[in-house]
Amino acid sequence: MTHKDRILVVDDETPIRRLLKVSLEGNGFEFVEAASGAEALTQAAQWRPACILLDLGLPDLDGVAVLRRLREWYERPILILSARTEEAQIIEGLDAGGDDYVTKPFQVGELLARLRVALRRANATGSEPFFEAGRLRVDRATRRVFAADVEVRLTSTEYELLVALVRNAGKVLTHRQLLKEVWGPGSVEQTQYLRVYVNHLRQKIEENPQEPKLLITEPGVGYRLTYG
Amino acid sequence: MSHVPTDRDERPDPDRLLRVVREEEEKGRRGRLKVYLGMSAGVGKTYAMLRAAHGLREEGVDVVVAVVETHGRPETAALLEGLEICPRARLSHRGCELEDMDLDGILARRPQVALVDELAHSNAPGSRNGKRWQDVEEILRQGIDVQTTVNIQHVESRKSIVEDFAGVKVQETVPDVFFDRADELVVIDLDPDELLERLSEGNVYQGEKKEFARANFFTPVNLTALRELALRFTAGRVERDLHDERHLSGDQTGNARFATNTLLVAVFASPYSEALLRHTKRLAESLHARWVAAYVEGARVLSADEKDILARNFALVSSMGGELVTTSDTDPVRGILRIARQNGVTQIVVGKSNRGILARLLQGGSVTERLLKESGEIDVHVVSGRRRLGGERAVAKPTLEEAFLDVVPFRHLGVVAGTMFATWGLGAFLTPFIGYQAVGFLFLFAVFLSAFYLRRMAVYAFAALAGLVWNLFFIPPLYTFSISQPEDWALFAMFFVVALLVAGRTHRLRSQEARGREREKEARTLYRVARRFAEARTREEVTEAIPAAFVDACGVPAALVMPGLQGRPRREQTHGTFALGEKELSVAAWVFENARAAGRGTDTLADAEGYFFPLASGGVVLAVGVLGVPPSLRVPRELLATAETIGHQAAVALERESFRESTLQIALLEKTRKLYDALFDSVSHELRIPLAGIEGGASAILDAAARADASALSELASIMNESAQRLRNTIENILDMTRLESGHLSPKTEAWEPGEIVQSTLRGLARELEGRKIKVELPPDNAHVSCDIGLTVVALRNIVLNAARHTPQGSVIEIGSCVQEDSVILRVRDYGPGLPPDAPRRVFKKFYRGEPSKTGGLGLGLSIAAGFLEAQGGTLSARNSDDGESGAIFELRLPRAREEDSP
Repeated sequence: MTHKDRILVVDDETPIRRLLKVSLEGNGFEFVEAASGAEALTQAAQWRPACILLDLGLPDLDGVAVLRRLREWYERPILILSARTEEAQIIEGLDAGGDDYVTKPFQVGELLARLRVALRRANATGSEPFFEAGRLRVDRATRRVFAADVEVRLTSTEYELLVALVRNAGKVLTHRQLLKEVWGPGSVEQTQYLRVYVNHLRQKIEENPQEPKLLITEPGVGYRLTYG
Repeated sequence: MSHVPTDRDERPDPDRLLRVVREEEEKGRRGRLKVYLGMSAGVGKTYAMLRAAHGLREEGVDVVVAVVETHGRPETAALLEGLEICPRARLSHRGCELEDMDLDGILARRPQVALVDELAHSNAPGSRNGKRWQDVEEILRQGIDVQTTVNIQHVESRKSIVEDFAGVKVQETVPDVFFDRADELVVIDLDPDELLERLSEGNVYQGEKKEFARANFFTPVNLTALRELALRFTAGRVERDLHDERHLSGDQTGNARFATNTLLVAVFASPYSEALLRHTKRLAESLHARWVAAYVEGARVLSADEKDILARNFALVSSMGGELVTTSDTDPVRGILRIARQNGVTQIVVGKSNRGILARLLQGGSVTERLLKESGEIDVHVVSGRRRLGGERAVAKPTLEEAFLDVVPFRHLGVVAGTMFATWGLGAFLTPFIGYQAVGFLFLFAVFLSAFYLRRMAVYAFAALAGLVWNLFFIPPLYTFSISQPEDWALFAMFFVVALLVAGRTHRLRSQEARGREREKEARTLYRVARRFAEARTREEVTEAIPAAFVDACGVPAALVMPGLQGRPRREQTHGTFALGEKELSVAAWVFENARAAGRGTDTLADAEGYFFPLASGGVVLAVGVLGVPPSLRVPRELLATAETIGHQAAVALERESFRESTLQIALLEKTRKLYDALFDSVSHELRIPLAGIEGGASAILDAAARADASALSELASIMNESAQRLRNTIENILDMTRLESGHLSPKTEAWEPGEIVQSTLRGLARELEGRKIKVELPPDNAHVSCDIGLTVVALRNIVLNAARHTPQGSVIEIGSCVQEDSVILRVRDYGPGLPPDAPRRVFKKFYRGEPSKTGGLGLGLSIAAGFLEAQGGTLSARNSDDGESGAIFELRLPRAREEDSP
């Protein structure tokens, strides 16, 4: 690998930064760090990282505010690092432009996998009409969907929902984001629509709808379409 | 009937709907009321009621006879057999033994149905309620069904008719609103001839015989009239029920007749108003109309008697279900018409005028005539005058002497005579200089002056007297009442007219002024009270302010009773200048439960000390006000009115306080919740972050790529190790705190050298104190410390760690000691930013953290240190250094060990 992706880690806890430094450098990434929100803003501008891992519980600034400031110019992926108790903050962060989230404590392997997905998505051109994940195949050019090579018939809303997930495959989408994309800005509170249609979709594309492997629920946050 | 539907006709009347709904609602909790109505005694109401009761009993309904009079009739007595009869209560009143229905007995027995005979009965003196129908109300309120009997002449709005045609006085009445709330009205009808036949057959009714004889209305004509009255009354009820039923079901047919009528009748402070009110009520009933009673408060100050009559008339209006509207205007006609227009009145009921011709001329016609002229689109019903409608409760005619004294009180007689003599003398003196005609003006002036302090009729009399004196002694020919010159005649006539006008006007002005003063005084009192309530900041202040306000405004001792926790209020919950006994507290309890006034001056528990009234807001009785009215005094109506007005304000103030208290409570809960959230966050953070280090490190080691790199492996191991230590510290802190709070700390005190304590503390802290220079300076001859080494080491360790956490890398931490009398002080001084300036004590509070989330930690360390020191008789204090360099100083003060204890 000639080119090393540079990752900025923003966290006020020294042990976490040290841990991530060892793990990221050991996996072929370049490591840059910041211990506060203000530092994060200057480091990001200086180093132009390929991805930012951002802790939301920062001592000086509100993590979500830092995320919004970054998003004013920074278009690469931002991963939220957070404690589980900050669920509302996580949703806020995702709505404000975070690409994914990992809760502390975390498995380093899981974190690296999420990081790679985010980087892959960011590097993809986005003009590919075919999408494949596990048994699911979507041909957006012809609007056809196959599960294990059998074509499935979707209603237009189901298709819209699936396409929204496909476009952001691997990334978690909040209820609000999905509702806005599929049903429009007026319906962002209607989470029950979403539950119903997600269930319909699972019936049609999952091998075992009771144990979904493609369309995953992120409890309290949203849904994610995995690569299977 | 051709009927053009209009918007107004089609729409259901919201008041009517509301009334029906409210009645339905109240009935949900109230017992059902069934009334057996008869035209007279002897038609068999009691008999019918008892027969029905047997029927109910056979169906398994729990029926109890609360009170039934058999009047010695054997068939009625026979029907009582097999029914449970509630024993009567015995009351002793002024040495007499009286028997009456036992209200409390029935309430305690709680049957499903209670039979109460003779609804209109007046209770024995000393009973809780004045009238039996009030007892029935109470029974109904407790959810017990009641069946009762009554004769038509006892219905309030029908009483005067009966009195008119039968020529008897009806003493006992039951308000119409009571019947309006009855669920069932059964008329017991008997042909008058048959009733008379049964009488003449010698079917003698022992008890009622006397009543029959006295009433002397057992003529076929009277009985027929009574029968018609009873049937009509019932028919009206049936029609109304039918109408309500249709209204609720949305059936609009035949509604037009009812929807549009509203009657108005003017109330005056006159006994004749009463008849007019009854008439209006009956008219309204037959038209299915709402009726409004209008009272126009004029400029004149009412006498005590007039106020009494007015209050009685007001009470009559509400007992007959009328709506009372009052306004204030010097012109009664203008006031009445204003109320009429504001209330959408379609018909005004007035009595035929009985005023003299003079009053009509002076005031532009009687009220009736002016109403007829000015009412415009409103119909006016003129009801025949006083002769037919009046006659009931006419006020006793005063004797001549009383009448005279009423016009001219004794003390005024002297003034009148004095003024007259003075004017006469002055006139006699001045006549030679100014002439007898000008003297007339002196007399006119005297009349004018007299109008300022005499009553109206007295002024007129004085004017007449002055005229006569002038004539007799000054106008020629002297000492005769004859007048020779025509211009003197004219002068004399003008004197009379001017004197009368001046007298009338001045008097009117004066009474307006007096009324104004009275109003101003009321307004001032109310303002004072309102301000006092507004200024009261706590519940205690409000509960003290309320009785004080009553004392201030009513001029009698007063008290306030707050509700007790379980029903009965306790004496501690009373405030004010009026001491309440046990009996009075139970009256207050009754008022709480029934939301009505009781005690002296009311029909309920009238022999209690004082007048008790509810302070209610939104139907909830918040407190009970008590006025200590003296027993000799009849409770003046305006006093009660004032008390009621203040009571409203008091209720608002009380409600405001309880609202404020609950707001505070909510704020406190919110604060507690926030504290809990913050605590939960910090505990979970302090557990999660080290755990993240351990889990992350371990998972990274498992990661194949990292495993190959030896330096990475050692770095990961050290992260995990440090995280594990941090986790251990957190857990130990929590455990120490728990130990401290459980109170099971039992320090084992021994004598220790300070040096040993410091060394054992520092030994385990090498890693945490990395980068800090620790300087230990202990005097070699230092005294021993009496302490538990374990607890003291934890305390000192927490203090040193705290210093390390809050100071920059490379800074110095000094540890020293010194002896002060019986204590040894261990001192830890750092060169960091020092303690927060606001309150150094705060650092010892549980979960306090210097700058939250910057340094991590739970904020337990110093609090534990202080607790551990106190547990062994020591103290911990903190301050900022004052030697020019910044930094914090912590001093651990522990008892010095006695020499013999030292090893």
